[in-house]
Amino acid sequence: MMTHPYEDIEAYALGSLDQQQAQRVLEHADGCPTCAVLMADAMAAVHSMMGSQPERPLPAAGMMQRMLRPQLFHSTASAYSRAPGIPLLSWSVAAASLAACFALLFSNAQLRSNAQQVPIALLVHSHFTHHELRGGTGNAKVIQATDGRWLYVVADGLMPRTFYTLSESAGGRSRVVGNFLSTNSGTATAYWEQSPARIDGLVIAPVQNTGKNGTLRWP
Amino acid sequence: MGSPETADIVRRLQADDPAALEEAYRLFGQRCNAIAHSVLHDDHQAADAVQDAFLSLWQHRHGLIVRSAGLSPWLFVVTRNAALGILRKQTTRENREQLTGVMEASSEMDPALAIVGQAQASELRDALARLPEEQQNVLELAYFRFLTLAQIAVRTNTPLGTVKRRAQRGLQQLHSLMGKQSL
Repeated sequence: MMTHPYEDIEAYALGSLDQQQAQRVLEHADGCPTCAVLMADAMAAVHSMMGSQPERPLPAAGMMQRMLRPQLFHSTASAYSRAPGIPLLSWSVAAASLAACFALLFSNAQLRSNAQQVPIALLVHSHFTHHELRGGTGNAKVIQATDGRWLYVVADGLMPRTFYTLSESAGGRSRVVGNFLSTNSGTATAYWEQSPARIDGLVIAPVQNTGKNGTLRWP
Repeated sequence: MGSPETADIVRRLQADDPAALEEAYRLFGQRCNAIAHSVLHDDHQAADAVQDAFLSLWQHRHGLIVRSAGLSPWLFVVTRNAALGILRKQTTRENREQLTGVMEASSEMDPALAIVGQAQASELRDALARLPEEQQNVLELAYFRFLTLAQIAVRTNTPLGTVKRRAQRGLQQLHSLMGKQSL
């Protein structure tokens, strides 16, 4: 049964709820037309208390860069979920480092992550769609430029420290986009640029047969 | 919903256009920073609060509140909440008491001055003075001293439900008074 948090709406706007309560009220009001209107009034009231705010320059130390880090982009893909704990940029760096170590250890060209560094600004300024890959162990989303020029993989729940291959199909033909390595905790991010293509299918599969069902597919 | 420019940003956010977020940041980032800084008094923490608020804007871009409240009220309130969240998370009980003490000492004469400029402070003070005393107390403790309603209930030895109703009525009445004054 839905309970409207009528008594907490003004408290939210005043900043007088603890973080958990505040989050609950905001989430509820965001999807409830009645509470959204009440919240809008409460926010307008607090806004009027604030008066006309002066501007305070933000620190020069890359505020915009930090704001536009992949975490933001991750939230695009997973609607309303925020990357837990370690920012995705760290995951990406960790994945790349592990990939390099693995490649050195095994000297196996096939098992080398060929993912590129993520050009955040380019992603943020691009038009894109995203696809959920399902099937085996883990979850993955592939974010794809509308014109197919780049692909960005965000995954979790994968088999840890495992090389995966991302393949795409376009017009009935399949090709390997590249390999990436999952982290110890089974997360991964990877990015590739390519020639424009209208992709109609994506598959993420472990490079080596692990005996487990690790293949994820879209559609 | 605000100016046509901000209405357009809201529309574009709802159409998943990340460039709209950047534009919102350019328009409101520095004011959000001023709000966060007025709570935290620290550049880096204020920047974190601003980042949280804009990230939250992106996450809530399809929600109903952004559309009905408009961009700046939503951003300013969420930024302030983010700043208060940071403050509460990292301030120990003792520090908080000290901080509250500092706030009280520094703004004893006019708590509104600690938050807004001179002109708005006078307007806000006048409006607050016209509220019943118990509503005025709750709003001052909540808004200027950064206490949660639960803390206010303990501090004033008043049932939490009563404190909530006072905050509710007080804020509604204050809004109406401030609206009339600015006409």
